[in-house]
Amino acid sequence: MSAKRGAVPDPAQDDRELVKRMLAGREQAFEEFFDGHFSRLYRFALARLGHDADAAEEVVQAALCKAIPALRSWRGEATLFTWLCTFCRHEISRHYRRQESEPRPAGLIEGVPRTGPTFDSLVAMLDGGVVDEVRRREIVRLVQLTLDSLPAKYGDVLEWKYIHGLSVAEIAARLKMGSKAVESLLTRARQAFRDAVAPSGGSGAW
Amino acid sequence: MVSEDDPIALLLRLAGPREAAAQKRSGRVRSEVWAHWRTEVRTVRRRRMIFRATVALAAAAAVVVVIARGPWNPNRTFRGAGGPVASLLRAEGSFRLTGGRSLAIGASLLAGSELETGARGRAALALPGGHSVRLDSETRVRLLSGPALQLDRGALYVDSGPGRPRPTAVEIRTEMGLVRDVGTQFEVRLEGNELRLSVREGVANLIRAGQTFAAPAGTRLLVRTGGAVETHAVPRQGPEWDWVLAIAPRFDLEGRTLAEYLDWITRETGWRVEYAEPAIARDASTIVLHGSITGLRPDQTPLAVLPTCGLRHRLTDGTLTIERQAGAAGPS
Repeated sequence: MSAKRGAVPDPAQDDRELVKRMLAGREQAFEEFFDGHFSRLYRFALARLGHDADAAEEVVQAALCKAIPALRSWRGEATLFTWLCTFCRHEISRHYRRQESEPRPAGLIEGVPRTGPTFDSLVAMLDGGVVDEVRRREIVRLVQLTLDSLPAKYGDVLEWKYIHGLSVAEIAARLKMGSKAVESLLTRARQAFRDAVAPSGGSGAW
Repeated sequence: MVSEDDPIALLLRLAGPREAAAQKRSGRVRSEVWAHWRTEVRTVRRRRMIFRATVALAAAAAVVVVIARGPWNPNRTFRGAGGPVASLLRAEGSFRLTGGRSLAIGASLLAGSELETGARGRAALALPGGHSVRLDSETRVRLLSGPALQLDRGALYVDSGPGRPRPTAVEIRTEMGLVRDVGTQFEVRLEGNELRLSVREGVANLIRAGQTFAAPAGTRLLVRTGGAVETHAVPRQGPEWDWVLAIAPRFDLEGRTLAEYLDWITRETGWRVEYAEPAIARDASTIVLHGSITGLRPDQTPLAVLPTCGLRHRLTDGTLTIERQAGAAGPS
């Protein structure tokens, strides 16, 4: 038996470690996998299934059950969430085929990148704090999609800090981390949020 | 404090919290996916064992003909009346499905399965959602979906795990009342005409004759046939809980941090951890452990684990104090 110092892992490393532990059959890893991905996949499916909650539940369950035997083939080129979304898209298409109905717009189903606003133009939509209902809905949709596209921990800390109003100390307690580590996590999460909105002049996470 | 000029804060506050799936939906999907995952893990392990056995046989240049002697395969999913509701993590001594059939570690158990331990038998199960359930000797229990268990006799220990509340609570049903987990560690013992609910951590509820009795940590509720519910104190560590330690599910030490190991051991033993120096507490989350503690009871492991980090321990009145070994420069 031996011990050594470890480094704080990055999100990609977290995903790789998580998959490794899942494949080894660790219960805790399954919990982290499910807790970290189910809600995001559910919202991903819900938005593409006309907000049909029953269909979203069925699609996400089928997607996860098909992804699990294929976990060994995940190489880490895309994030685990992005990889799981491909299974979800396939199940959404199957759902529409079964229903013999027209699928949602192809861009949304197939995930073809669409041109979105830059971070600055999104902020400009706030228009000095006065936002009409149409703009508000668009901002809500774009911001929530962006949060879901981030590593789960990034999305969570941003939501806890800025929406639920938790202090750094409260987030640290929730994540069992030190305050400094949480501050650093928040900084990285904020940067990732900005980058996810529009990393290269308008073609972002949306 | 969030600045009013912070555009990210403004955008996020305007967007509001993301929509969450209803707990029932999340619980249903979790159960199904968990059962699928357990089956996959077991299948891969079996394939590996077959591969290793094949290589060994080839090396020995031997041919062995295996003749199946019956339809029972202890690794398979046991078909009960419903879907998979548990997985067998560990078994000691006499443990079997009612009817006399034995089970392999890792076997999935379906709703409707009846399990029984003998005089020297014990077992540990995993339920979807991260709940751990242990069976003491002389126990008979039926698995129900939910997750829920019908206890006919003997004792069960439930640990719903540390951290956030689970989406679904475990229910233990007995002829003398129903016990519902509220994020906790507790034992339910049914012997003769007596039901005992002993809570080690958190809170559990006993529901009997339309009334709910909340039992916080350190409390034992005692019910006798026809009698009122009595409240007693129960220690949170010590001989009362020895059987729980004896059948604790295996902890995979390899690659875990010292902090994770200490979280596990405090949860299993009920001990509190104190650090002799703040530096040790700070380092605990970055010290990575290697090796195995298989075969040791949780309360025996500090002697094997801590010296590998240049540390040692003292145990006084349920407090485990971690300190540096004499002459050690520290874990770093």
